Amino acid sequence: MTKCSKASLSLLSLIMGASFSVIAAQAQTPSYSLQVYAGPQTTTPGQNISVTVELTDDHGKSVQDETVHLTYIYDGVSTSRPGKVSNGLVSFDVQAQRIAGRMIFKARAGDLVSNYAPVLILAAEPTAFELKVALSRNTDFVELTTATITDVFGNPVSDQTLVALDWIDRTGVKRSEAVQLSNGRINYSIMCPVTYDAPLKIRAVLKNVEVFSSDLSTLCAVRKDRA
Amino acid sequence: MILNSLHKTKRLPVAIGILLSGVACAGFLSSVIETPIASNEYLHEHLRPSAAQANKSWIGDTFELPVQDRLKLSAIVTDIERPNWAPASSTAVTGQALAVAKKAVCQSEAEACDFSFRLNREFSELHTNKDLRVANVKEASLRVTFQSIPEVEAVVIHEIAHETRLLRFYQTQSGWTQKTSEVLETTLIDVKSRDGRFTSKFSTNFVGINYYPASASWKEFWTGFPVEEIKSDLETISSMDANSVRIFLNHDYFDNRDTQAEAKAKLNVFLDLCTAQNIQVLVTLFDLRPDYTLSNMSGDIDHIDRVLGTVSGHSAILGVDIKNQADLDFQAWGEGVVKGWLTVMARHIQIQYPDLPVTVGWSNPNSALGLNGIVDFVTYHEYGGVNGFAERLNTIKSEVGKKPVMITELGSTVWSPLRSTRAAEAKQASRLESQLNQSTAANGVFVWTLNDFEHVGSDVVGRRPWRKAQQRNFGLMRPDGSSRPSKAVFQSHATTVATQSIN
Repeated sequence: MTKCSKASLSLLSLIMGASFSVIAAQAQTPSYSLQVYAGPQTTTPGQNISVTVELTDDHGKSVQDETVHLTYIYDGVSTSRPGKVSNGLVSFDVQAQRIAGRMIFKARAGDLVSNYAPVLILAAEPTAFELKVALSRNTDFVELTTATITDVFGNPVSDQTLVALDWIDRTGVKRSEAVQLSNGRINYSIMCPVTYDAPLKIRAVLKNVEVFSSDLSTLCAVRKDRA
Repeated sequence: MILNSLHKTKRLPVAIGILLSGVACAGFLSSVIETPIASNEYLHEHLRPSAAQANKSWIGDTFELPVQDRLKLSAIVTDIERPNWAPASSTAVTGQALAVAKKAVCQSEAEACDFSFRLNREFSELHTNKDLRVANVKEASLRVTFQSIPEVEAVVIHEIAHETRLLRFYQTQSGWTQKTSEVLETTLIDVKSRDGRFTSKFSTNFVGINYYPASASWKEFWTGFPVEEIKSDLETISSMDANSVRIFLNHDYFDNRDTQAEAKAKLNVFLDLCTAQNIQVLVTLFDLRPDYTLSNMSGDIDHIDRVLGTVSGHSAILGVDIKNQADLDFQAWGEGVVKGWLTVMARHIQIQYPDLPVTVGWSNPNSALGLNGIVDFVTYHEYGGVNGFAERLNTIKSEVGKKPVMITELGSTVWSPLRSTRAAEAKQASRLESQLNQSTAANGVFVWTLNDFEHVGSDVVGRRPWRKAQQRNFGLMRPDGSSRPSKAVFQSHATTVATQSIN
């Protein structure tokens, strides 16, 4: 009975001691806060993203001279950059990756992990593309198509981006309309003008890129005859 | 039963009683409301930010933050820290800054409350995210912390400090939001070390004159500035063995951009003329400017710097009287507001011009101890009865401790519609003699005044002709240049004091 009690007491004191150690350790660990701010929220490859990391202590006060690590994935490669906070802040200039998509920034300070700050990377300016025109099954229409339109890094230009289309003959612009990209391409049936003065072309303008079709007088010949 | 009987038999007296008590209540309430003495509600009326000030308050050559953002940030800070302001939606303030905002709110009249008013705020960019998502702003200011004491309905200055703070802002969908407010450095302004600083200066017993030329009193003194007349008057004062004068710098003339350079030049000439006659000058600032608006304090500090910046080292200056008879403005402005303003001005002079002793010329002995803890020497005016003059002085002396005490205005008018001129002059002399005889405990006396004045403006004593006539005729000298009996009394006193100081 006595031996049993002593053993119980020893075990109890061990547990209590361990508990106190844990509590003491917790009390000494400051609950810092790590925040990441990144902007702009949408950008294009190669452009600058400004990322700022904020480190504050458990009273919300700015921490001085602590090292934080900014981490992000750039074109599939995990990257980490150290920086020292001054008055709670440190900023990094990061180039937007070449692959369109999302860059996610987070920071670490010791065991502390920040929130995630995402930045959307959209395709940059498109490169020149070729307009293909074929006879449509519908009378008076032609089929206008392109391959996938991309930027210089091969990123497809975003869907729903508007492309301005103009019918142009010898006298100038005959008619204008717009079409949205779908799957990065133009795929559109377009009605020939009622009358025109050959040669007849379609002009497509996407952002700063302007391309022309070949002469469509042949494809829209029926209507020409009617005129 | 009682009510019933009252209802039947005493309806009229009860009605009159109710009416009278209603009037009494209304009177009491209006007196409380209309007399904003030391009410912090009243004080809050003065704590409004100014867009122009906010614009000027950013220092630096280049900024990451566009001007609109800078204005917005300074407006947020000023708004958050405006006493009596509660954040309604918390859209402009979060985190630690919210605690600052809550601390600044002094809506309860029943509980003691501290709130700070910051002067000369200067903002500078410490760190700005290039996409303007988060910004660290450094603010340097002079913090004046007021404390309300509900028990006595008073507002007092609790602390004055130079303070640097770090303010952090970040962008939300509704715009910039303040997140933190951290004090980086605080330097409390403690001028206790000034005790005993002016012992040497006040080892002289000052006998002086409140001075305006006869032809140019109050603001006309500086616009007209009749040099030959001034020179002659200073010779007269010196010949009477007086060693000091008290002058008044008209605020508008010394503050106006068009006249301030001319004003300072004239002040320098006056001080040089006084030096030539071994006369010390007690300079009274902010004359004829009854305005204690706290949000103007920065401008008032600039005014002090403009005036004292060029003359503070002049050997003729005895000291600085911040404001003449400021206690007369307690009723209109509130005692807390006036004393708060005076305290800030006094502390500024003491910090920037440490060799200039500072005082406030209180209008009567009862007010003399008003800022005893702040001023370097105590000054008050004696227009009360001759009886009790010495007792009043001795009481003040015993209260102020080692600080010098001076009576910076005493004297009487000879204008009296019921008395002959000769009798009035005799009375003026006998009253002055009695006062001077009772002034031995004072470190200085200044008589009002050397001359009768040709003209006294309505801005000095109002429009009533008899008040103007009284004010015109306080001189030791008659308008024809001859001496009144009071001049001999004054000269005798000055000579005695001068002889004592030589011995």
